This record gives sequence, structure tokens and C-alpha cells, in this order.
Amino acid sequence: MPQITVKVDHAACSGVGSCEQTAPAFFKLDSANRAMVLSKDGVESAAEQTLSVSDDEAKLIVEAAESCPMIAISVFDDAGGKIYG
Amino acid sequence: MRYVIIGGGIAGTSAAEELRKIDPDAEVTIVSMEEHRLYSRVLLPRYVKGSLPRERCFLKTEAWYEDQNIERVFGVRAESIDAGSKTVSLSGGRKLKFDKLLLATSGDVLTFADRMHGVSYLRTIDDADHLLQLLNECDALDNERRRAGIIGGSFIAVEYLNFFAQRNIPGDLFMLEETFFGGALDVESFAILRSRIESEGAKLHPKSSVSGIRGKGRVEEVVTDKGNFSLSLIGVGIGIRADHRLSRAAGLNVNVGIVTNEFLETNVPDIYAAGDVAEFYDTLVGRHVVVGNWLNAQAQGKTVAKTVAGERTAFSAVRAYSTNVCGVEVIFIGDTDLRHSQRTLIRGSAEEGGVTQIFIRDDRIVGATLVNRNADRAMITETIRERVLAAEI
Repeated sequence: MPQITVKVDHAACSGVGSCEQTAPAFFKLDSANRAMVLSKDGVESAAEQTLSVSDDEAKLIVEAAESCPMIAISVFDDAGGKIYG
Repeated sequence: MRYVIIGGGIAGTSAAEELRKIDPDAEVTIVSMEEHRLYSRVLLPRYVKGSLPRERCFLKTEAWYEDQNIERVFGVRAESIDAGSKTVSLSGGRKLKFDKLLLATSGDVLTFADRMHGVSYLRTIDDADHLLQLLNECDALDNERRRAGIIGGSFIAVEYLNFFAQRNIPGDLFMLEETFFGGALDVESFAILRSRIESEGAKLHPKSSVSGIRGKGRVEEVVTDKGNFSLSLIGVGIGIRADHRLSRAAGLNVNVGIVTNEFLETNVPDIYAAGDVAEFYDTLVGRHVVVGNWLNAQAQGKTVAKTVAGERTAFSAVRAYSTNVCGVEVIFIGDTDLRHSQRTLIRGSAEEGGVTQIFIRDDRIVGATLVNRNADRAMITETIRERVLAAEI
């Protein structure tokens, strides 16, 4: 299972909601209308999360990041290399 | 299988990307009037404000189209569609045969007067380049001439308020309606925005009409029913209009947009429409609607690709759009067309600093506008999605 770190830049996020629409299990707009990254059990949310995910889940998260028209989401691999953003 | 997509924006590009995933061997061609590869229209304000380099607005690289084996036919116009022979004729003479055709175009910006120097529109990245140049010119003028104006009261018009506020350029905004967004905002919500905007140095002129822009070669004055105002830059945001001649001639059913069902299928077999150009049947609000925002276009592009490729999929999503006007967050959810709502409910007040206006039709909540009340977004989205009765909340 790859470990990835997902980061939302709240200065850039404008609450479009494309991440939540693409990957609702991993992103949610909070009460301030900013995207938060959800923990795998969906309980905790933060602007940045390190997650152990399956390859398909990693793909979906990258797709959600790519769907952001504000380019506010970055995804890093476990070595800190940028996958997207 | 040959898929032709007319429109290289987010709806068309998302559809192409999805089609390629579903069908690795298909021929996928995107025809676009713009020369540019896909860029983010919603990022243009950040580019104009200087917080993002121009290059970062582009969402796809040149290589992406090649890697995906998606043919780009950019900088050309589709001139006719022959639904019988399944052929699209392009400016320049090329003819493209298709098995399935997706119309994913948008509209042309409505212009005011001529393109006199000092008049700005904000639709494309070229418009953003032009505006940046005009803002720099205006910024350099002496205090007397350093004034700007805005015609319109909707999403693009309010972006100009942000641009002028950032540079402390005093401005006047002229709009036909009593409140912003075609009158969709209630007076309490508008009062919150107005007070913030006017504290930033701009002046709003609701229920005013502009009859002309004057100047010798460049903008000097705007003529309105509230008097004449001197200025050297004017931002025009009065909407877009789609050119439907092509679609009508092809036999498509066109009303405000190209009429589709919830599967984004038109009345002509094997021709589909998605994004700004589609007037689709929205099952959540129970009527045909035209929605011109990024998220809708992106989601429709992805959904229609499935149907186009043979896996018939209905489009269903609660639409949402948010914008920030001089620091005040404004969110639109669902159907906020007053003409189609039977009543509205107001929560909050200008005095409290936040207002939610809820639109009700047939006892169900179909939409809402939120001004400084972001926290209501999730609950209202859910009530629209679940078609909850208004009495139940």
C-alpha cells in the first residue's frame, strides 16, 4: 500500500468542490467552504494528511487533485517527491 | 470508433480524457476556436491580481494531448454539422467524420460599444492579458484620471471590483438590477456586500443603465441615466451568448441552450451536449436548466463520456458556485432562479453579518444563496440532493 501525503493550500482553495465531487471519501468542504483531506476512516479532517492507500485510491486522489481548477491540491509520495501539484 | 468533441474547455477536455480511459483504441478529436490548450478560467482572477504566473493557469501541457493520443484541432471553427452523413465541416475546409459527436462549446462574451481602448472583457486568457495591461496603464495615471468603471452586476462584474480594490483604483459599478447576480440576491445579502464594497472605495449604482462609452480613441467617460462619469478603464461583465446557428441547422432542439435529457443526449441520435451550452434536464430540481460554471462543466464532461461510449449514465449533481467579493464569501447552491421559485426564506440578516436565502418550489428546497454563511452549504446541498420537504428542516 503506497503512503501518500495530500495537502490543500487553503490560500488558493476557493471552495469549488471538484475534489469532493471526484473523491468524496477523501475530500470534504468544511464549514469555512475550504477543502479538507479526510483520514481513511473519514473521521479526522485536516489541510494535510498522510494516508496509506491502495493503488486505485491513490489514483483517485491524484485525479481529484488534478480536477481542482485552483491548483490548490498537492500530492507527495512517501519519499516526499511530488506526484502532482 | 470516432469521437469528435467541439469545444476545448473543461467540459470537452474532461470528456476526451474520460473517453480515452474507457476506449483506448478510439479516435478522439477536440475542435476548439481558441488556440490555447486547456487553462483554468477560474484561475484568471488570480493571474490578473499577480498572485499566480500566467503559465500556471494552464491545466494541460502540450505533451498531454499527444500522450493521450487526443487530436487537437485548435484555432478553427466548426461551420456545419451534417447529422445524416455524420460529418463536421471546419473553417479551412477540413471535414471530420464522426460516430458520436459532443457539443461542449460555451458562448461569446457580450460586448458593449466597440472594443475601444480601455474597455475590458474577461472571458479568455487573452482577455486577462489585456486587462492586466489596462490596469497597469490606469495605475500609472494621475489621481484625477485614475478611475475605473464596471458595467454589469454578475460574477464577472464583481471580479472587477476585486481587481480595482486591490490597486486602490476608485470605481463605479452600474447595473440594471436592484441587487447582484441578476437580482438573485435578496436585499439583506446585497446590503452586506454593498457596505463592504463601498468601504473599499467603490460606488454601486443599482437600477442604472449605461447608454454609451465616450472617448477619443480611448475611454474617457461613461454615459448613464445617473449622469456622466469620467474614467479611463471600464470592465464589462454583462454575460455571454452562445451562437446556436450551427446546432439549429443540424436539427438540434435549441431553447436557451441545446436541449438534452438527463443523459445529456440531444434529440438527434449520436449527438450530445455538455457544459455551458447544454440546457439539460436537472432531475434534482425538476426542470431544464443552463448552468455556466466550472464544476458543472467538468462533471458533465466526465458523465457524458460514459453515455457517449455506450454506458448510459444520468447526470445528477447539486450545482454550486462560490465567489469572494472584497472578502465576503458568496455561495450559490442549486436552482437560484427567482422566476422558478414559489417563495424564499431568509435566515440571518445584514445586521448579523450573514444571510442565507432559501429558494422553495413545490414545497421542496431547490436552491440557496449564502453570504458569509458558508457553514450552511453542506446541510442545504444535502436537502436538495435528498429532495427534502421544506417543512422538514
